Amino acid sequence: MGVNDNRRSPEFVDLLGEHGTQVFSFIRASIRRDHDAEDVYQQTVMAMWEAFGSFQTGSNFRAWACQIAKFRILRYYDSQRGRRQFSEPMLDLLVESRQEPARADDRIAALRRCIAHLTAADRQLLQERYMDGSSVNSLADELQRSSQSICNSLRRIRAKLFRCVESQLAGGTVS
Amino acid sequence: MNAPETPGDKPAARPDPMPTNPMAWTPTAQQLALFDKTAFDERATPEDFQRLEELATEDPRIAAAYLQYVEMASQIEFVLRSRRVEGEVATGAAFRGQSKRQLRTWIGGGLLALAASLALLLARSGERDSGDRQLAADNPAPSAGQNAERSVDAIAGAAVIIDIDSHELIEAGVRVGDHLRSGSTLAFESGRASIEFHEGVVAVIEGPCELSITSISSATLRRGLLAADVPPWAIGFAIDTPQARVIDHGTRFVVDVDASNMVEVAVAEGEVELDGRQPGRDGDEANRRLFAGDGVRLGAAKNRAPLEAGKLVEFARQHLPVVAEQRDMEVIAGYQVDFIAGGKFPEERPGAWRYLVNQNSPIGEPGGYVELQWQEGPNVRDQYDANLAAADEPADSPSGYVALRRDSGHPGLGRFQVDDGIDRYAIAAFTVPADGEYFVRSGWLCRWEEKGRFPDKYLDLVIHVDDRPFDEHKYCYQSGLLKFQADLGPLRRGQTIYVAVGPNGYSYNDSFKWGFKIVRSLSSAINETTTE
Repeated sequence: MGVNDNRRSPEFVDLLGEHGTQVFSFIRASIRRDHDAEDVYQQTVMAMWEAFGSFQTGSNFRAWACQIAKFRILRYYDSQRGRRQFSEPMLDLLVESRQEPARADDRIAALRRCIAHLTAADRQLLQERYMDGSSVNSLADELQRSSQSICNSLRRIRAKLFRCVESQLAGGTVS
Repeated sequence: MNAPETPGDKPAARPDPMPTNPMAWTPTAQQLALFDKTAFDERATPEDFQRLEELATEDPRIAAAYLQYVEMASQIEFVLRSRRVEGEVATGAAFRGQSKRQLRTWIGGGLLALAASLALLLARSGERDSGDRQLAADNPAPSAGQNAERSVDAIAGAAVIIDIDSHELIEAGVRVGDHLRSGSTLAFESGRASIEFHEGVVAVIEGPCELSITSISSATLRRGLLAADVPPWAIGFAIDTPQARVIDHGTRFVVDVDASNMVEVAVAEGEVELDGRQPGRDGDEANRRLFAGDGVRLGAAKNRAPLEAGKLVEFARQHLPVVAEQRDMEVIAGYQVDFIAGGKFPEERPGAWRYLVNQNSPIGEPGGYVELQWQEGPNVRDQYDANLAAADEPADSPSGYVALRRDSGHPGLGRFQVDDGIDRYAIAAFTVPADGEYFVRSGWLCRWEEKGRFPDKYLDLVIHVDDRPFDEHKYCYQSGLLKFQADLGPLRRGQTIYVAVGPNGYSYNDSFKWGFKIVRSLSSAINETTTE
């Protein structure tokens, strides 16, 4: 266990600011329930801070942080009576998989452009789901649609945005 | 479990490998569907997680793509909260910089737990500074209550206003979400408004203008500048002008009508047809086809300068949304277009359509569906129905009233009218000819009978695939038109899409007219072909 050093807090904050979204995404990708993923992220950040003394400046913070997150995820799995979403080798695959931290700004900018080009109805559905925090069931009631239909629409929109972002980052246009 | 709590005693982590070219490989539609189900769908099963593991083990790009998919979803809320509908507001760099300052403050005070919470908040949804709040105030999202209220109006309109950039309209009380009935006119002197026709066409009009909505797929432009984006399932959309009818053949086009009734038409993409075969209209120029980049001026004095189509096309480029999804789709089938009359038995009818009633089961359980049979002759209407011998007494059978015709139909008896408590639906079934991602688009349903005399007598519409839960379930009230569509997701060849109209409890003057189209994502078809 590393030793906490308050003088390194600016460095920790900088690194967390740069990689925090990726660490959370790793946790969220491994734990489907939002609130549980948020709890595990908080525990992970606490553990990272406590262990930050052992982190070597200049080494790969994301990989280091995701290793800590992996142990927290496994502990969470154990608390769920062994009901694991993924095996440990799969978590290792996710830890080792490549994301592109240097392009986070580009990704957000691309996502912004892609959202701007959604249809009004799709944008409205996203806003109600993500900004208003409406559940799928409440959206289904409100829009007089089935929950399955809402899930399908959200899946279609997210897939469309994903393709659009990838296309944008490859130099394409929103089309 | 005895797993170590931190990796601090391990060698320094490996540096990240070089990023790969994201266009070198992209997940297929089915893989994206699996990502989404695994991460966001409560119905994900252990088999889904196992499948994802297997794919990621076979190809590590799957794991990276899955992570990026989840990360993108996490960023949606941040982007939505920090942007105008149009225009850039905050950059990711600004967002991150603020989050760091906030974190330093908290950690400096020794409040690490709160810092962790704050970090979570910032990582997930971004900082909401005063500027963002002001923008949010400038662009309030409609409340849930507003939406619910307006959804009732939605069934009565042929088009809906989706964007307003005109003080004149705003001051007149026109709002985004307002619905325009057939025959209604939108007129204003300055600014712009965007409307979406119920067949799916999006049009932007600029004042001074006067536009009358004539149907879910047509309008009359008496004055003003209009640009239209027409999805594949709305081909045939038409704009009438003083000089010619402009008929779409799959395109984006612009029409400008000035105060002297001079009309300019330009095509940004695809093709339009001009139909000016009416007395007093121009000759050959008003009866021709225009292709991308073409433009024509009708009803102008001879000495006018040549038309610059590029300027009109630029208006479309600047103001029309470009919907990648629509460019990426092909129409596979249409209920009305494909309707095949005749053939008493299924084997006598070619094609992938079947006409059914849920004779022996509730809707959603295809095992109890039975085929309707074609009837024609002097004493019966030309239609598919349950072929009851006692056609004069259809109430003898719960399915007695069930009928489907080329553009209309009737459901059977309702659950409150029969002993077994089952609503009987008129069902059109389409069997998917190839793998791909499928959608129902351009769906509409309208009660045929006089509506005002029968309050609370609704129809209901259900869409489902095979025996899985409903993909769509909506109600058509007595007041008019119901628009419907559904995203069905990746389907395999041989799966069947069922679109059904039921009596919702009581069958009482429930004759209806309807139509819809089945469309497929081209990229999903290509991806599946490539994968296989």
